[in-house]
Amino acid sequence: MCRNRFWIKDFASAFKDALPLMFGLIPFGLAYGILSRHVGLTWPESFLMSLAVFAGASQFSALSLMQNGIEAGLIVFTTFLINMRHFLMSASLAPYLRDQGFARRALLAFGIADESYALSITRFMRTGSSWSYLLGANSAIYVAWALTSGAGALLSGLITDPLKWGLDFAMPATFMVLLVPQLKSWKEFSVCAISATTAVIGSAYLPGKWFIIIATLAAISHGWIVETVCDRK
Amino acid sequence: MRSEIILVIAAMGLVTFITRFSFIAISRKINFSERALNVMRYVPIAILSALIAPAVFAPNGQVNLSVGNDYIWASLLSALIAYKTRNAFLTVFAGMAVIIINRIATGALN
Repeated sequence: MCRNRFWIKDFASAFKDALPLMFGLIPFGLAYGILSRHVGLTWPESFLMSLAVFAGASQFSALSLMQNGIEAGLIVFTTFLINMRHFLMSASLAPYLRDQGFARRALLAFGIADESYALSITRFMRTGSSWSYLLGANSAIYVAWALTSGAGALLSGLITDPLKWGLDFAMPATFMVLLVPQLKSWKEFSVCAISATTAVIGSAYLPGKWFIIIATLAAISHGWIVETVCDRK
Repeated sequence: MRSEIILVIAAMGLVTFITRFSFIAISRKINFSERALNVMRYVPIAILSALIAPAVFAPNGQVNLSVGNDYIWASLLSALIAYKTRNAFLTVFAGMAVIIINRIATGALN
């Protein structure tokens, strides 16, 4: 009974923490839904993709590839490349999920998105691992993505430009609340600066989401050198 | 629904799941060294920075460091509020207010 209540508590607190991010997903979900109808998907097909893939950037790229006919191999391979950034998140969450059973780890892994990863890892580093917090964050983002992308596909004729109200700023703004308290010393600052600079340049010149992988690897390598040098002293 | 589309979607879902499950699936078989764990503390900072910076400085996939980029002004205010309050709602709404006011003032919303 007590364990049950604890489970719900973390789940609910994750949902609450995810609210601004759910809000920020509105323009992207709508945009995906609208675009999916423009390239000729029916709304059940569009909705199914959101439920089964649940990865915005790769869904957008699949849509743009579908404009030139369905080349299954190319679409699936591109999806894999864009979602390779999940390897980094998976590795970062792995030490916190070792005690969970296989089925539970699989369920938790299925729902990992940029947003729920960011919320959960911040929480884990602050107060320790909580699988129900991760489940809550995943579920919140999953529901928001399903609802907004489904709505976009249904209402595609009615909405024109979902980005013009600046709703897309909700994502970076919420991430700032998670990032700023972690910048405790010059070490964290330098990791942040290297990643940010690499990501801005990379986002302009690299395809897909490669900029996240490159920026993270560059910043982590720097972090590794810093830790090595500091260990020696 | 067309079966061809369903197959593509299923395959997309599978490869995406593999990227997410990868290290979590084998987490019991990996021994994380002290050094590795120390360095992995930086992964969230790196990923967050990599998500925030392009959304602010390259909002449409093109680097835009001009005064007219309202995301930069919004993020200055948001970063300050994030630092002072750590309240996500305040941070989001303050930043969005800057963007909406600027777009109304410049007529971009018409």
